[in-house]
Amino acid sequence: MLGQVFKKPCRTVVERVSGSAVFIRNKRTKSKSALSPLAQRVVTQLSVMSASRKQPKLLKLSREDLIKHQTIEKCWSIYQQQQRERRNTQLELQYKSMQGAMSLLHELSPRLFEAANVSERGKRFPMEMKVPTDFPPDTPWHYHFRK
Amino acid sequence: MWNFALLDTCGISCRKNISGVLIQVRNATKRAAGSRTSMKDSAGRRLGPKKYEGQDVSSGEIIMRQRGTKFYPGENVGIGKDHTIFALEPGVVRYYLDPFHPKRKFIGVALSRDLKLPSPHFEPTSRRFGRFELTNKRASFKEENSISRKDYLAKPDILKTLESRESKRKELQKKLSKVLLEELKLDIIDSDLATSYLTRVRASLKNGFSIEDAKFNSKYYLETEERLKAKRESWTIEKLTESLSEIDKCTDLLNSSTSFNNKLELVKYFSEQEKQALKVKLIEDLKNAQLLQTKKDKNAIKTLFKDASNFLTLSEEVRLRRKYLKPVFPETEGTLETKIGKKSIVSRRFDYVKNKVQVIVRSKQAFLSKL
Amino acid sequence: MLRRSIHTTRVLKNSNATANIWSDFTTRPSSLSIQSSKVKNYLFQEKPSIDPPSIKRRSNRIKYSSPEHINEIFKMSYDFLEKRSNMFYKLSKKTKNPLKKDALLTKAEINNPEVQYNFQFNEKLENIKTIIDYDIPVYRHLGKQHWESYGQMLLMQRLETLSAIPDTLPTLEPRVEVNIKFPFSTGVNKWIEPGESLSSNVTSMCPVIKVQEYDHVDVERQLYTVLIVNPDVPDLTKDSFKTGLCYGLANIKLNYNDNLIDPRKFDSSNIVADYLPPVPEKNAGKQRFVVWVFRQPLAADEQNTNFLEINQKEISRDDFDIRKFTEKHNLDPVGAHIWRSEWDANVAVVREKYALPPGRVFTRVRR
Repeated sequence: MLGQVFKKPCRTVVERVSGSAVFIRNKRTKSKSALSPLAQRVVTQLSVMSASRKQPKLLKLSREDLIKHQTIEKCWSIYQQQQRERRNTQLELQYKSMQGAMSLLHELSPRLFEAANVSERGKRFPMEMKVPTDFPPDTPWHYHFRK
Repeated sequence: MWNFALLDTCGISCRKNISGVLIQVRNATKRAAGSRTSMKDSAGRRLGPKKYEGQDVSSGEIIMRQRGTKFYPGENVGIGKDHTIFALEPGVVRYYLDPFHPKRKFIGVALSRDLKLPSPHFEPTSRRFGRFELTNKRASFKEENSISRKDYLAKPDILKTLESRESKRKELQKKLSKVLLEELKLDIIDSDLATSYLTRVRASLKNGFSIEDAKFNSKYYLETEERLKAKRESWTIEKLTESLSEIDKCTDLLNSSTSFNNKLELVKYFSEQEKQALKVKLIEDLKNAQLLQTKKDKNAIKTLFKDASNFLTLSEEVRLRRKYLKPVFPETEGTLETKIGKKSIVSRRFDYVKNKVQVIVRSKQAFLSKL
Repeated sequence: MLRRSIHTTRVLKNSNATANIWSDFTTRPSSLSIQSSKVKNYLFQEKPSIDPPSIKRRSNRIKYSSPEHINEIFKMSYDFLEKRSNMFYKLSKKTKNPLKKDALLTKAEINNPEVQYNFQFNEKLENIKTIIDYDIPVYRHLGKQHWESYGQMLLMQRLETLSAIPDTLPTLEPRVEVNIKFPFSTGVNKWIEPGESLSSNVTSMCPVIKVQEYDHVDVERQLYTVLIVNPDVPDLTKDSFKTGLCYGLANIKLNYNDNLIDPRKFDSSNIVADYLPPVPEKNAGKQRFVVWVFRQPLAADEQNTNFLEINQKEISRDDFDIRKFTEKHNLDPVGAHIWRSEWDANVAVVREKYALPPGRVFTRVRR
């Protein structure tokens, strides 16, 4: 059976069994694998049968390399932790300075403070508004822009 | 539903109704519905408490019959396969709550009326011994000598192995005493003491103790045995000190004049410096020895290794033997052959670098056993 | 990102004389370094061609290939961690508090690959001082972690399930690792697992007890007491059980590395109660033998001795109250161990050896 199937590389096999046509549906061949669909099918079946294929291969490291690997992992985690801490302290400082500025504003002019704290719910960022940049944009003006 | 049976029976009436419209007929009798399950009702299972709070129970008495664990078994209480709770100890029934399991109700048996359940968490548990001493001599003798069937079946084998082990020990002791008296020619007063000490040291070494530990353990064993004997036979202190000093003397003599080699054979004493010197000399000799080409060379190296077990550790000796008495020699021009001949020996080997099977043709001179 | 930070460390290294703190062994103890030169060479190699020496078989060595670029990245990481460790060393020099100092020294060395190699691939219980030295805080920290990962949990589980904990002392907060062995009776070299059932032949002579401290203690002054009790001695008058004292030692001095309590470590003045071997009677069930290790109270004044004066005559061996005893002498239970014994055919021999009266025989059925 398998041998017969192998000989025919076409997508849908039409076999004549005692005069009537039998259609065998194979796997779709849209995939770019180099193997023919039937060969691919056999490969799949074999891979299903083999238990060792189902689990990922165990990474074999010698003792020294294991220690190296652990050192690298440790270093990377410490480095990331440091970055995280730095970012957090920066955010904290930013927040504190903002708070200081606002409290100063509240002391100097309560009216301006109120104006600064007006709720902006539902307000969207206007598209025509340009983000401040160091250099002029590549396209200075959108001539055909329509709102 | 159309009742087709009825349709057949009242075929005449059908023919009468030429229009073809069927009329459903409703008979006078109708079966009562819903009888399928409601007719079954078993007798009551007599569930519920059989013993109440504060009642006395003896062991095995049922305290509660229940479906599921409405009550959980607490202290001194067991639970059956139908969740029946029964007493395991005689005492007083207690229904209680346990703060460790706040959603459960427990039934327990307190061993006496003044005890409360749950018993305090950090206090020693109160337990009942529940056995009597057999005072009748015959009964106690019979009970003491009774063994389980499993032990009874295993006994002959155990006795046999014990006997064989004892005979082996005797043999070893005989061998040791022979070495002590005939080869090393030590003047030992108590030969039994010396051999028992040496067998102990040997066993300890075999079990992986260091040499100091092995010596100390063996000596301590002998001393303790002696002390216990003195206590048993109520010796005077002088007699005990005398026998202890005898052990001391004997073990000191043995420690200073004998040692075990790496095959655990008794040989004359080698100090650490001596061992080191001998090792250095052996390595030097091996380096200077001729390349293995003839049987004579082989025998020369073997004679060098003859006494190596006395001063090398086992791993050192194995390593040196592997280095200088290789069973197959390295693939040099002298050992390899180009063609497969009658006298050549062909072997195959997988080359992991090239991922290929290599065919190696060697002459007979390449093998230690064929020199 | 990582590379940039490493680059800065290299610049700093030139300005800092003690940057190579992990590889400078003029002042550091040698146990912080890998002993085998082969392994060390492989770990810090420049050329990637050497095969790992831990793989013994030649064919396996040939087959093995280490992950790509692991050496370069390892070097970077090593430099990074070494620089960080330098900071901890500087901090530790400033601190006076010994506990904080230990913690900082641990932090300084715990990421050292040589320390990790030494600890992970060598014998931890019977340590060799040149490889794992428990005098050094980092090894103590690693040892404690290792113990807590299995041994401590096993011990507590056995103590609780065998209810040794409320039956002898109320509870235990384990701080020292206790291991026992019976080398004298049979010559077998085996550490006993907590809760193991032992034959009367094995236990016919005293055990040796290994007490491994991991905490910071005053090694010069701290003394230890060891008691072995049996809470399962039948008490026929009360139809219950009483506690027997099996073995008692006091005023024993230990240190971090040399901590095996065997007869070489003490003399007759340390013995509170001579060893009485387990001799369970027929049908009396399995008896538990609980080893308790206590830290003795330290005298407030450094000149005073910490020796405990225990009157042997006050102790009743066959009805021993361990709770009262610990309270009276102000002992701090820090470690425990347990084994079990049952009647066997050899018990009579042991009894005869120790000149004990023949054992009672109890009814087989409980009533």
